Amino acid sequence: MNATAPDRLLALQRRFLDGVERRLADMSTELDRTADTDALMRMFHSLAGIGGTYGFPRVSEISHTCETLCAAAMEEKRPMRSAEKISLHLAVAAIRGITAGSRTAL
Amino acid sequence: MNHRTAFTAGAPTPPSVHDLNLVTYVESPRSLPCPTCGAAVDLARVEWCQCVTKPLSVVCPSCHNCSCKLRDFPKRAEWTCVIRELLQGQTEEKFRRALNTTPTDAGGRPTVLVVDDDEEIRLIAEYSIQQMGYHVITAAGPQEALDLIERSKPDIVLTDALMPKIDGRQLCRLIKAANPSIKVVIMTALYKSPRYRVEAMSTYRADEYLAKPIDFAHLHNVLENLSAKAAA
Repeated sequence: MNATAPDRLLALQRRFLDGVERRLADMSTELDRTADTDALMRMFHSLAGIGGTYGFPRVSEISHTCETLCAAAMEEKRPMRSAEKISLHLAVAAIRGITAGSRTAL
Repeated sequence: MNHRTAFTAGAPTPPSVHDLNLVTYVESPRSLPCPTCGAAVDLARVEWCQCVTKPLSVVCPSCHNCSCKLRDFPKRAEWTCVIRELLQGQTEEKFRRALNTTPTDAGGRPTVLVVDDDEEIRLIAEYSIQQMGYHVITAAGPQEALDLIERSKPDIVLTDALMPKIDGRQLCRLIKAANPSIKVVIMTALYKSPRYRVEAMSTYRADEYLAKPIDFAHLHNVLENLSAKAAA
């Protein structure tokens, strides 16, 4: 019933990984739907801030790259290009690969 | 006296000194009734529960309710401290402050308020900063933070920069205007350029400006430095 500090950290990491799965699903849905640059930028921005904080720096790096890509599209006031959407889908898959492996390890 | 007031979230009505049976608290096991089942919970046996959304929660040994209502359960050391002060003739006002606010633990560690609209960040920050030995409270947004600051008077505020309505920099300015002694650290995953740092520290009077993802080793140093400054 009671949890030690390492147990609590483990529980938090598991919770984070479950949450990432939901975030990635939302990103994929958004990419397939309207690919709204603002919405996608916010999603990647959030993940960029959280990933490394939970000990997954690669998740932050990939997310930050995606965030920058979305920000560029926003800056140019244009919709996401097909090639960019593919890149973002690949990035989502890469993050999913990282977190899925970690979930198994936990 | 209804000791349950000490457990409830929000702003509990503190018990009066005249209502407190000091003999009970000093000479018997330090226990308080569980707000769920009413069973006496020995403060020395308070344990963490697995309710990760509220890492400060404890488990009632009788009903095994890992209720987050128990979040404000005072630590035994805190109660002992309060009682010792009372016996030394401290004022009722001080007693009220000790119950209404949770400024320090027994080791005299400062309270850190974490403000972030992202729950994942709040949880890991709360856990990690607790592990550093600080008392931690959290707020999901600027307005909740301002309410908590009014009530709990934290020593350090750690706030995200990008939040809806009032961003972290504006929050910092509001805090500094009303409570200049509170140290404020702004965290950001967006405005990482040095000019933003300079702006945050000069225009908004932030004491520190950190990039996300949070590097907790660095944050530890920052909190230690700010605590030392606050104590000086």
